[in-house]
This record gives sequence, structure tokens and C-alpha cells, in this order.
Amino acid sequence: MEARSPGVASSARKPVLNNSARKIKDNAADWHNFILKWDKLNDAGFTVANNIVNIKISKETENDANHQVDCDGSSVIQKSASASEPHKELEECCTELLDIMDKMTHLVSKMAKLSSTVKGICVLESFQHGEAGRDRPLFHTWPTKQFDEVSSKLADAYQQELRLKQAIAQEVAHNTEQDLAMVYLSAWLYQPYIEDSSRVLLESMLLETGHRPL
Amino acid sequence: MHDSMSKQAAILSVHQATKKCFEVIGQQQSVWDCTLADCLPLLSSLSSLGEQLQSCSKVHFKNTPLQGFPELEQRLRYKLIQAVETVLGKLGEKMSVLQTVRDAVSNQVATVFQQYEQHADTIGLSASIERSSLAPSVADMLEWLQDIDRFYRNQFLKRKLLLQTIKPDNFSHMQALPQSWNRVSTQKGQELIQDTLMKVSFFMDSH
Repeated sequence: MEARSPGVASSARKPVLNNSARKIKDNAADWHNFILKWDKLNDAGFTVANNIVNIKISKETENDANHQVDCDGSSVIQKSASASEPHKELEECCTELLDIMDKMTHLVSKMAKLSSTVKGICVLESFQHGEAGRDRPLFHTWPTKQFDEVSSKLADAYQQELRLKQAIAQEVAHNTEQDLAMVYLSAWLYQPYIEDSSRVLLESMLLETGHRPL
Repeated sequence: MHDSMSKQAAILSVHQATKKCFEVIGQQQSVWDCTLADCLPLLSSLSSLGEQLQSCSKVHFKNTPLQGFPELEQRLRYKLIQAVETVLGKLGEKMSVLQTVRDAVSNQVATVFQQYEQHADTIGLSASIERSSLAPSVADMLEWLQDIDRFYRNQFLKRKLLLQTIKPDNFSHMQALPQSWNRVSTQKGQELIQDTLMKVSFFMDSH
């Protein structure tokens, strides 16, 4: 059974979506939810990474003070006792960051699955309707291929961003250079590979599939 | 007698305009102060972004574990500059509010001076400088209003100029913004409006 014809106001009646359309509509909703989850993890990860950098910086300044004290030959024992506390805190933060990375990795694999689901729908459509695809769009105006393009773009962007975060997570606890630490934090927070166009793509997909009112 | 009646009427009309003006100043002052306070977190953001842009320019990405990431430096810079522009946009909105305060005060002060000019001859010089227990002299109040008008104009202009000099590659300027901004407020200036409103408080309360 074909989907409702374009041009009919979406508020007029509840459309009966065919299988492909329903899958794509759910797909769009999933994209939205996954990206929301990602943003939350991004914020949480930033807080932890920031803590790690601060601990490293305070350890560095403490080490400098240590050297001075050593030259005096006084209070060496005192220093080493207080040095173990930030070490424990650092370990805890690193564990927390790894945990966040795990969640983000899992999320990206779910995003990849969304992308491959849509690809599957396109393949099915080619099989059923030929290379040109179906004559009427599933929703308003988008040919089914467009959902594939959007999903792929989004999945690629988040995959690349994940790789960057993995690199940062690995390095941030070992780095002692202040400028590089700042770059790690900036790169985490501002997500260089998630372009504005990604947000626009998501919103337009939500509009097309009726998740947002037109 | 006719003369002294119209002199009284003239003084009254100037007093009324002056009262209205001080009322507006009282209201606008809190808008001004709130808006200045709203600017502080925005300036802190700019300061932090300045630090980040500086670090981004100092790091040789090719010599770091991030070397494999395509166009990373450009993309990061782009995002940071975009963030700067967003904050500048918000600061622009705050500056608009400050501008409306400056203009509101200016307009009211101009009205008072207009009133005075119309009636100056009728009031005469000695009445202008006469002060009573309830009211400062007209001359004094006009001077204070001028000072307040000048204060807001001055403050607005200085702050506007400060924001106009922000450039994403002038890192030290950006990082110093919160301090530079605070330096624009002078001790004398802070007290001017409070003190003036105190000096006219009896006058404002009288009919």
C-alpha cells in the first residue's frame, strides 16, 4: 500500500506509512535521540577531561616546588604523601573518561547501524522500483536516496569525531604541555568534525519525516 | 505680583521636568547596572576563547599525537572563531540596551534644559542659584544632570570602542577583556549617580 500523497497537510489525517516509510521515520527519531545522548556525553566528558588537565597542572607546579624543597634537603617525606592523592584522583578521572568513551563508541556503532538500515531500504527500493526509485516520495519531497545521503554524512561525521575523542582520551592524562592540553580540551568541547551542516541535515530530516511541524 | 506668579510657575515647570528626569535616571540606572553585570560572563567566555585560540596557534599539530587528523587545526580555529562571533553577538545585544539607557537619559536631560531655556529670563539668575532646605538650586541640578548625561555617554563610548577592538588574532587583548572592561568603571563614576540621587531625594519627595 502506497504512502499518502504529497501535498496533503500532515495535520489533516494520520497517514498509514508503508514499511519503508515507517522504518525511515523511526530512523530519523533514533538519529535525534542518539545525537542528544552524544551531546550529554560530550559535556560530561569535557568536565572529566578538564579535571584531568587541572590535576596534571597542579601536579606539575607541585613537582616544581618539590625540586626546590629537595635542594634544601627538607620535608621530602611530606611531599610524597600528598603526591599520592592527586594520583588516585587522576586514576578515577581516567576511568570515568574511559567509561564515557565506551558509551560514545557504542553510540557510534548504533549510528552506523542506522546508516546501514537506510542503505538496505534503498537497495530494496531499487529492487522493487528499478534504479529510478519510486515515483512518489515517501513523505513530502525527499527521494529515498536522500535519507541514505544524510544518514551516511552523519554517521561519518560522528565516526571521525569519535576517533578524535579516542586520541584525546588516550593522551590527555599523559600530556604536561599547557598549550597542547588546552588544544585537547578545545577539540573535545567544540567538536571540529561535527559541522553546523550536520545539525541542519538532522533538522531537515525531522521536518521531512513529520517529527517536526512544517 | 504678576511677575512673581509667573516666576513661580516657571520654576515649578522646570522643577517638574527635573523631577521627571531624576525619576527616569533612577529607573535607567538599575537597567544599566544589570546589563553591565550580564556582560561579565560573556567577557569571561571571550577571555577563555582568547586563551584557546592562542594555544591553537602555538601548538605544532604535526608534532603531536593529533597529526593524523585531517584539517584539524583549521576546523578547530573555525569553531573557536564561530564561538567568538556568537558571544560578540550577545554582547552586541547588551550594548543596545546600554545605548537605550544612554539615549533615554539624554532625551530627558535635553527636555529639562529646553524647559529651563524657555523660562530662564522669567526665572532670572538669582532664583536659579537659590537653594532651599527642600530643593537644591536649579543651577546645581542642571549641572548634575549634565554630569550624569556625560557619564553615560562617556561610559557607553568607551565600552563600545573596547568591544570594537576585539580581533580573533589579538590574543592578549581578548584574554584581558574582563579586566579592561572593569577598568572602564571609575570609582568617581560609580558614585556620581548614587550621590546625586541622594542629594535630590528630599526634592523628589516634596510635591
